[in-house]
Amino acid sequence: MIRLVNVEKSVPTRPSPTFLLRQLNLQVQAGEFVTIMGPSGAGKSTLLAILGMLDSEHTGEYWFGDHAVHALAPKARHALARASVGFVFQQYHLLDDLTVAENLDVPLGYRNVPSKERQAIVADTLDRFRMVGKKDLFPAQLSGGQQQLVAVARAVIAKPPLLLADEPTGNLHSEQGRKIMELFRRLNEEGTTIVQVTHSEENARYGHRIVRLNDGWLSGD
Amino acid sequence: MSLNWREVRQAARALARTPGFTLVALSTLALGIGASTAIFTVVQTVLLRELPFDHPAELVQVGHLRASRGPVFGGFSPQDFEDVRAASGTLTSLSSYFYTPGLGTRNLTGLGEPLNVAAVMADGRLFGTLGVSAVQGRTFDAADDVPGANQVVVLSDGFWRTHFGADPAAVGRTVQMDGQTFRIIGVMPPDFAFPSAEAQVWLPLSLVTDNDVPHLRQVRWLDTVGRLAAGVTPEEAAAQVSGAMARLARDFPESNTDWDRASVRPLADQLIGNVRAPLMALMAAVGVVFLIAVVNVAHLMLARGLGRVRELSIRAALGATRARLVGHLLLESAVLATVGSALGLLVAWLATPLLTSIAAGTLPRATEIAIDPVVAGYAVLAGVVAFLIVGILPALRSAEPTADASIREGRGQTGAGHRLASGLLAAESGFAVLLLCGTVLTLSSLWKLTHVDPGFSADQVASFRLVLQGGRYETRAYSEAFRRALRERVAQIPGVQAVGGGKRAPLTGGGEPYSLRVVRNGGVTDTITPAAGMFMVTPGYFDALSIPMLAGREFTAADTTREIIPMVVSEALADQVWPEQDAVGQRFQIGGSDAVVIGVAGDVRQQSLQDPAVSMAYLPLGVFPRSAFNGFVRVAGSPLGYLAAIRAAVRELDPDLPVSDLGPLTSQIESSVARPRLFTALVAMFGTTALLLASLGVYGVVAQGVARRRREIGIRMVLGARAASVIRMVVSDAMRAAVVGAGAGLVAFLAVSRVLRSQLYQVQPTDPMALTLAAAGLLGTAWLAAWLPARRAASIDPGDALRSE
Repeated sequence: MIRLVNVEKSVPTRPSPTFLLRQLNLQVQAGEFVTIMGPSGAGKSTLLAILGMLDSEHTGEYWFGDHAVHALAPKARHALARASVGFVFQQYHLLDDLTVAENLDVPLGYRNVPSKERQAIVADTLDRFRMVGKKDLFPAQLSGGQQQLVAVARAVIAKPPLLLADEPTGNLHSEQGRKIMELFRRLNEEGTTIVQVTHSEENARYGHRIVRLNDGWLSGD
Repeated sequence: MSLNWREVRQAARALARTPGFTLVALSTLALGIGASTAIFTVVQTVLLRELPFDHPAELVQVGHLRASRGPVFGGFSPQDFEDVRAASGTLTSLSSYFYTPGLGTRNLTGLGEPLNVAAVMADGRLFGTLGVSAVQGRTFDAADDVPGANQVVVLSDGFWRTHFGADPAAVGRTVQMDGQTFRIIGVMPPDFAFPSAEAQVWLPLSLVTDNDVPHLRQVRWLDTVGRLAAGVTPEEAAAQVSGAMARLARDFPESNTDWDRASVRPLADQLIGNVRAPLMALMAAVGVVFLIAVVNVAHLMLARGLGRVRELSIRAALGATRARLVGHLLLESAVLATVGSALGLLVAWLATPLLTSIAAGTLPRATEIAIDPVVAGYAVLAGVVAFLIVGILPALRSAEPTADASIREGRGQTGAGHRLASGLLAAESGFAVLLLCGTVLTLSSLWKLTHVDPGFSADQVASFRLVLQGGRYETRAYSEAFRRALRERVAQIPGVQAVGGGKRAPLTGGGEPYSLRVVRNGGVTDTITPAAGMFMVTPGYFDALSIPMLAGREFTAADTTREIIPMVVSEALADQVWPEQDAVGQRFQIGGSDAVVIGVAGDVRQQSLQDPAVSMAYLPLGVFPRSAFNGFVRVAGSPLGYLAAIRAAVRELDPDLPVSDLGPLTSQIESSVARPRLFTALVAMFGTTALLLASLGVYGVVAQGVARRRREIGIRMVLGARAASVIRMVVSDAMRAAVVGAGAGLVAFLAVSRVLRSQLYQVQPTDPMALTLAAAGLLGTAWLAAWLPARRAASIDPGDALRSE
């Protein structure tokens, strides 16, 4: 599904540029659950941003299925990302002024799903994630675990084949974290490819494979 | 909440730490307060400041109230005036004077270049009635106002300074006017401008003889000024004068029927004339600019307050009450408003000379325009209003308790702040639409006014004014010979195509109010009075002004007989009297003489560009000689190249005859629309400023919104939002407020539009096209102002936006 060939990412600094990723070669098969680990500053989040097509300022090749992402025009890249990638963040990044149901509706709206269909999908997702009773609450009225649950539901509501998660349990206590990881496992079993970034060895065990980064270099796979 | 200087210093220091914000806020306040203070300076001087007379509130003008024409001021015969004066016990004093702008002039020689001076003929009671004394010498009184003793003159301060170098020894010297010697007896104070600022000298009324104006009861040419007795109202005085006039109507039915009721109005109404409505409209317009400026600064304060949530939270954690936090923020607003008010006063002071120069000639009392304590008080009041708007709402909003409420309500505090910002934006948009409606309407009105066909062509025409009176010009034959010789000399100047003249120039007022008896089939059938009056003109008049002759011919040098007076009528008069017949050859009777129509001329707007052309008639100036002479010379090319030659032609005939207003005739037309042009320019300036400020407001609100919503926009982009949908989301938020504001502005304008009606020419204040254009202009500009920062929103890197959280 994903193939990175000699990907390098740097930022301009004086006297010489600082490299965040170096000569990275990586393959992720469809249906895999991959964990990226490494110390702070190793380039994990940078790699996730490139995989999510949020960052195109890199060298090397990025193949997503048959698509040469590195060669795509911004508009086509955004369209591919919209169709293929869902994100889960450590800080949840829910929209504060929208209710739970409205937050879930946002990705569908951006994919031009008809209104009636959207209502049905949102209702189904609320049911599937056991959040029906909380649909009219605002994010600030939820616990951290509940907010991350909403964030995961929102990330997968448009059925992206790839789910990227950046420290998804970083702000949660252990019990909440376990529930989220169980949810990821279930989603993976249902066919979603997952790439997560984590510091937690326990969370890493939910995946099939661990990719280790150090100072931007791939140090283990 | 207690205030101490330490806190004031802290507030000033906090402002100094953000120089960009402080500079923008102070500039905006200075502009808003300065502009409104500057216009208030004019309003205070022209409308509010007392006239420079003794107890000016007691001074009134007495006129007629005719059922057919409403109040008519400036019309008493000497006989009627004396009879009314004798019976007016409600007035402690009643005096009369004679002054016609542009016509009441005297030729003054002996001070270098011959001068044509504006002279007011005043009776011996005028200065006493006004309660004004001379600053040098004395004014004249009843003893001076008798034949034999009336060769005295009082000078205006301006004339004295210009022509006598402010020499006190001028009093007692003599000057020559119209060939007669006058002794200067006094100089008036600088602020004495009665009845208008044009007046240069005052002469005794008794100098106006029966030869100048027939002293008949039916010829009404005197203006009046009276002083009400203590406790008497104008209405009571009018009732008493009406009684006297009713008696005159009974005693002299031939001349006084229908002249039997009086109207009495404050003198200020006469002197200020019709500038009250436009000035108040301008004051309202600049008030709106002020409000927009203040709302803009309120926006900035709101953003500043919301950006200091952390600081305010720390202060709250340290024990500050909400009142204390509000007070802390209010102090900064107070410092801003105080400095802004002072800067605004400075702006108004700097603008005063400019205002004085552009108002000169278009507004009464323009020379008196100056900052006074009342104006300073207004600037302080504007500062207080600015403080209330700039300070209170943003301070209350910013100092709201943070965490508890936002968790309880489930929404962030910034949402409420955003709603306040949107409300302010809507208010700004509404105010701007209000002014833009006025701008579009006045511009449309001015365009129509300046593109109206006056019935003549001023292009390539030079004009000048002479006053042929006194000395040898008192002889009809000499003055006619002079006019004829002048026409011949000017016609010989190479490039001159036509020369003519008349008593009055077009667009400067009506003619003489003669009645014409219409002769049909050998007998008089009815009497008509041409609406614009009768005009005395020379041969060449119609040709020089390109007034088309629709039938017959214009006057020639041979039209000198009074036995059957040749006459030209306007098309409107011909249509009125002989709708189905050829007017040429038809007969009238004027006085005891027969008149025959020799030609029909195209209609001309005689009163002003605003007033439509109405019926009028022309008589040969050689048959009905008048001292005033306005010459018109049609030339090839620019008239400017012919002015010296025209002046030389006059000089060759009479070196002592002053030539006035020599220049292109187009300049006269320009000056006839000077006031509407000035009004339109100011309204347009305020409208543009309002649009600019509102656009800045939109830009600021959207830019702040984009900065505040950076994370939200990042999330939306990660969730799949396209650039276009981000732009649409950001722009539509601002446009929603702008549309609401524009709608409210339109409704408000419709409610107040009638105040503009008197300032518009052939444009309805509710003209849907103009109002749509104004609203579209605001919304278009607002869209652009929102689109610029929205574009930046669409280029936010979602990775960066989310990482920075």
